[in-house]
Amino acid sequence: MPEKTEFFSFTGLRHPVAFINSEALYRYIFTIFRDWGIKKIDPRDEQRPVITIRKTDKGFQRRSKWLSKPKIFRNPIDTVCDFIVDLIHAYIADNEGLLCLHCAAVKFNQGIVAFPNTYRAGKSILSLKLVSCGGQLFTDDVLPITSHGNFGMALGILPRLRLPLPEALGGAFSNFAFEHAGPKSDRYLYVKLSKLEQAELGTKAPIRGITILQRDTAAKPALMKVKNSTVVRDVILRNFARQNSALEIVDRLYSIAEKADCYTLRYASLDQAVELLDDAFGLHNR
Amino acid sequence: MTCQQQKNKGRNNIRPCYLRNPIIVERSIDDAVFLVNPETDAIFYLNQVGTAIWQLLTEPINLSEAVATVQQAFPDVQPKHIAEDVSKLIDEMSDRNLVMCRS
Repeated sequence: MPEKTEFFSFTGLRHPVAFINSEALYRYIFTIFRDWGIKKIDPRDEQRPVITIRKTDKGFQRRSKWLSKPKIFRNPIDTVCDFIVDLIHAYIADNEGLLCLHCAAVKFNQGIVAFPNTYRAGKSILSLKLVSCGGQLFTDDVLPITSHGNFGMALGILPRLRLPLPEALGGAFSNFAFEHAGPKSDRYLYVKLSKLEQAELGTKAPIRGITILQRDTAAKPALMKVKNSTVVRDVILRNFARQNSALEIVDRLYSIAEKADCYTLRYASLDQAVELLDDAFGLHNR
Repeated sequence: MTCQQQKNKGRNNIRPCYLRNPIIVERSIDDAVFLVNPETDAIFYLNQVGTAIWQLLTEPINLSEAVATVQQAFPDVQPKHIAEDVSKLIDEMSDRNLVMCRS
């Protein structure tokens, strides 16, 4: 059977992405990459694809220069989940000067508050809870930082929750998540937010807060000031745009931390966390 | 000759001195120190003892002098532990080209 190869352009990428016999992915990609202006283009007119996904007997096989060997996923949603990693690598490579932090980020009244990624601290869940309370999501996983002004930039990729949702989250949060349900697998649920709830790709805003999350059911909830150096050390580990020089990374992260209020948020429940963050940074609807 | 070789040689009464590698760039944030090697683009974060040693290395200093100075700064810590920690840290700094050895 002849192969069906289609090339798609994505906003901000110099090279197209090739899909071979992979039409099953299209509806997920168009939904999850909400703002990426994805367009089918003529393969003959374009340069080599930056990422290639091919449907094989074993599943969807992805190749790119960021992978030492091809990755294969059977499930289309899992394929798209992992494809995001390469797409962001390509975006950073094609948009010079971006730093990229592993963190969630939500816009409050005073600007963006970033939540650096710490293992199972609940940054995606907390971010979506904040959205349900009037915040605007910038990202649930990766935040590009612009070279001019060190602004946080929205990526316009739908946020993702791991399934099953913990029962302790309560009905209100689950209702919010499932009322906004987007593409879903056994493992993940993408949450389809409006442009009011999630900033469009390329939207920029100053970073006013950096909050390290610490889930702790035993201790009293609190938003505690932390030293800039603690935050810089923490976020350096989570920067993955290594085309910038190390010195530039340190200096820019310090400049960001210096202008932001840096905290550790110790919390047991989402409601406690929202209340403390609302007091510090202000949410529209509360 | 490597730092370790010079250190071994130091056991035969020639004490190598250590000092900062001049290519390393320092950034102090609050009371923490970050070191950057522009040649390798590696970033290092120094803890409290590491910072104390780094401050000493502006001038050439041998291991015994470094241990004695750190002991004065941390009088409650057992001297044996300080000697081990300082020696280990200087070795690590040498391995990462943050400091240089001079015979």
